[in-house]
Amino acid sequence: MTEEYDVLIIGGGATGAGTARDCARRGLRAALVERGDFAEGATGRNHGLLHSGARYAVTDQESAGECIRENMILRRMASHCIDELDGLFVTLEEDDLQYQQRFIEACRSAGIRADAMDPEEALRLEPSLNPGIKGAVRVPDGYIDPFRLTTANVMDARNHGAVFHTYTEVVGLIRESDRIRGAVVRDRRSGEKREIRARVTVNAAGIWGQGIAALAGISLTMFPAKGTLLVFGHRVNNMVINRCRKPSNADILVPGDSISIIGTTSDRVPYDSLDKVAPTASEVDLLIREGSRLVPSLAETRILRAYCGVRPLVADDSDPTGRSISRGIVCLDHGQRDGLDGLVTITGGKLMTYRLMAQKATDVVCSKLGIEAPCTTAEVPLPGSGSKEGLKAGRMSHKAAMARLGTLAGRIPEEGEMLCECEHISEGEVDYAIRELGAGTLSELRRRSRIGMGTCQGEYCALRAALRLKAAGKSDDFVKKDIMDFLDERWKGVRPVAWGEALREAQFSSWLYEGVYGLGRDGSEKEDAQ
Amino acid sequence: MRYDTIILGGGLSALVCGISLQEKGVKCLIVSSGQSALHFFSGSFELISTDGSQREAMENLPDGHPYRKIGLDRVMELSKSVPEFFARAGYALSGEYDRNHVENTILGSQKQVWLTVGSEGFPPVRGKLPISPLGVKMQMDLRKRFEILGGDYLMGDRAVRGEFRDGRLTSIFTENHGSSPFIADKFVMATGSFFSRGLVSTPSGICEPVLHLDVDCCSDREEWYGKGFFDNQPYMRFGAVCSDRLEAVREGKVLPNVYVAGSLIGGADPIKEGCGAGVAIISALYVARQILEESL
Repeated sequence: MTEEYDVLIIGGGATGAGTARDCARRGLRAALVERGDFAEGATGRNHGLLHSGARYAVTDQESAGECIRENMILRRMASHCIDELDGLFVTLEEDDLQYQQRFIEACRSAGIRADAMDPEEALRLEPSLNPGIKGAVRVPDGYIDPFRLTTANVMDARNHGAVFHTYTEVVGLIRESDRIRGAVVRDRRSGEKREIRARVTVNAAGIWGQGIAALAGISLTMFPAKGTLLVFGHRVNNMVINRCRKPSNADILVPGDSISIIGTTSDRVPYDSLDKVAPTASEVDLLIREGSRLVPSLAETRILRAYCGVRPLVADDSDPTGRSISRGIVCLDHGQRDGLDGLVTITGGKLMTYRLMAQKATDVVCSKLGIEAPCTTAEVPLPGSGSKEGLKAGRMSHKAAMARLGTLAGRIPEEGEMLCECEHISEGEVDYAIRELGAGTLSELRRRSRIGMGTCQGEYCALRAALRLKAAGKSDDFVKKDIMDFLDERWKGVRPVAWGEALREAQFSSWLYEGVYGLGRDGSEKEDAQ
Repeated sequence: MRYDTIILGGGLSALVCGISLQEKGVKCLIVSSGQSALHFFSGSFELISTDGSQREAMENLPDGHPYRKIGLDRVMELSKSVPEFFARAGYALSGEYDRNHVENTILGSQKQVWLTVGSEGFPPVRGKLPISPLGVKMQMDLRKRFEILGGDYLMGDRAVRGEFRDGRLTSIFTENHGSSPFIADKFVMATGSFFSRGLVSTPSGICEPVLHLDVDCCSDREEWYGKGFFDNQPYMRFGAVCSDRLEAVREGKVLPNVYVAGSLIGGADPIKEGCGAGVAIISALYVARQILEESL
């Protein structure tokens, strides 16, 4: 049986999920396919920085303006995903203080609040700062949880009739003369192929968008730029810290939930290596070295893990050499651009502008389908972001759940044991993520609830959470394999920083999961060891 | 203060060594930071992971493995004395000293184990840290036995450095006792591996932090790890260099009055080989035997 929709969205990052939400709210029958889990790509692999736009003010006024407008919108409609911290742009001893004035003027002309303060005041606000700073500027930066944001968009889209298929990969596009009529997809778990037909298809696959375009025979050149980040073992700073100079490596430190994240690097990588990128030792060393210029204690702080994402930079159509990168959001109507109707690509942009990107893509879809319904995503709060009036939390875990789930925290029971001490996640919250957010593996649970993202990196909570999956009906063999996959995934991030406490914990984890619980890949590997 | 033997570390290996010595009247001090891998005890000891002959499995161990240093005949001979040793401490172990048996883990996997103290070592996984009540009790009981036999157990302290004269260690200093030395004829390093902080790693290398003993490890950090979490992890085999008699080595020279016991000894992979408890117990018994022979 063939499924048929008004719109098919390819990609389950923030942009895809946001597009699904916007389309569904405008009355379209929408379906979304994602080759892995939601927010598994660039959406979940950045700082989680709620940009004020200040970072782009000097070099790119248009992006800066987009950022500050979206920043203000997201504070209202995604309030439960956001921590309104404010940020500081600090001038270090080796930086030019004259840049600060230019920076402040550029911020103000883009509509970004920017207040200069003297070093003493900045150090009082943010004591972790390098005491040698020459100056600081306060801007409305913040933290945004990209997983929570994506989940909330999916939830709202679903409430408005959208259909989601994860672990479903696009292997071909259905072409009828000069129109795209949907996609041929493959269920990556069962291997089964089927057609999903749609009147318009939206390519929101991020960096993988080049491959999707290629399936339609369209040339779309992406410039994959890998960025590596480090997660520190506790919340070192309480405001976003940026360096007041031209954007460069390792100049942003963002506190998020119980941890802090420093980043990033930027290196071009070949398109065919996208699924193999990993943080390197030299990137780790650079991040620590540069990061501890901003906040000296980073040199001594335990690092939990390193991870990297790939920015979806796209070639500028107006440059015939194809070597320039487009600035900002790129929304391509392939009917106009390539004479192939029924296909829209939405790319470029940032996590910050996902909503605006979704709006632009949905506007194009609607105009093709003759729909006049207006966009409401800038006004209507996401599920969880409504008024918290009347909500009460007693226990610590429930307070933490309220911070994570917002108004939806009422859906989880107050009682129940603590499952993750690092992030204060109760059994009830994990059960809620399994039951209502569709988490069927530990990695999905991590993205839906933060299990395994805190200090222990899953050492204590992975087994406990796995037993909740078992209680929800998963088999023993499934659970064993799932724990192993989860630990393998966590190890990828720990390995580049496995010294000191991280190596200690890794040894303990091996001892616990392999030695005591008896997990292991298979007999042959054990034989090799002996 | 002066002792016949000072043992650094308070885990299984340190306690087995200390009790063996006190049983023969050697006056011992144990300096323990309070951490012990016993707190995470599964309920069973492993000597070597195999469903066949333990002795044959040991013959396949790499050169430099602690069992090979001790000598496989001697390992089996010492192994024979283990049930008796724990019986004297009030623990009737099930299983046989020279044959593995199978125990189930909490996840339903089966493991080949050597001697079992109790099969409920590890029940609590919900709401609490994964601490084994059985392991904690055993640690306390062994400590009590050591103290009843006349040993001193210095709890919550940590050796920070040693003093050497004529190629021998003469005394150690601890965190809490500042400049007052603890003096002894013999010393046993049973401070454990990374987890117990017997080994300390930094981005640029690995060291034994108390006496700065020579350590066997790869210098390139990239070579410390396996790719997957369940692959071989080369760092597991890192440890203090020692002679066949388990004497420690410092700056390339054997320290004739310092022995190494337990997981601080390099060359073993306690997880892949299933030999963690075995190396802890057998090396402790071997070191104690040599100290006794020398003090006759």
